[in-house]
Amino acid sequence: MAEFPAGISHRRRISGVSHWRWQRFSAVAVLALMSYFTILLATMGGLDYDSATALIAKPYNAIALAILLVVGLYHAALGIEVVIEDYVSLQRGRRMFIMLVKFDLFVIGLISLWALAKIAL
Amino acid sequence: MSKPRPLSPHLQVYRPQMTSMLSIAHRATGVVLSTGTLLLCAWLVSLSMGADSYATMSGLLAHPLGQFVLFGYSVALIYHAMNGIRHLGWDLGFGLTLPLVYRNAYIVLIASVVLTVALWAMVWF
Repeated sequence: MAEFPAGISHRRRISGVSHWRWQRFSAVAVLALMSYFTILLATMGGLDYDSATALIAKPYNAIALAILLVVGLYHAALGIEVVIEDYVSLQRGRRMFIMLVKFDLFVIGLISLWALAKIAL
Repeated sequence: MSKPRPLSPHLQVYRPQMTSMLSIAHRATGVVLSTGTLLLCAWLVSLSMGADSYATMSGLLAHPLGQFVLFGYSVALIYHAMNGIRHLGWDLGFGLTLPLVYRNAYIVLIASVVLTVALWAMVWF
């Protein structure tokens, strides 16, 4: 087995390719879904309570928004992880910092999905 | 964790170039967009809590400061999307020569401005 520099685990090293790949896959999905919702919102003009609820309660919109939330927050987690890795050293709490950001994004995702479910169901 | 591992080059020691600036902007907008998911989350929660809380949220977003935040978010979103397409092109092996890297940089900037204006024109008219 190859030797790795101190502070970088073997598992972390081999997951680099998969990290890169999923950053790209998620990018394509977010690009498509974000375009859809941005154009949808822009062309609808003002959204009052009833029209906003009706819009999100449509099954295909609810499912698309749920996918956007999950894949988008995943894309964000992967991206911010790389930024932190580049500028926060291991000695200054890189791992803790990354875990904190991922936890935050996870909580944002849970709350958003819960609200979405409440609106759509 | 015995030896300090090297970090990325410090940003301030380099003369700004189109390429590095767009790269930094891609990361900065990515962080902005990640933070902005809080806004989407808050909007969804307000909508789920009923008409009153949604009206409060709409009021906040309609306020000039709210509009400014939304405008900023749209700029970050459109730029990150345009430059993201540029990145995906590189990943597929397209546009990797220096002249093309610069030409595509200008295309990204122009497309970002045009699409941002078009988006807000659609919203307001």
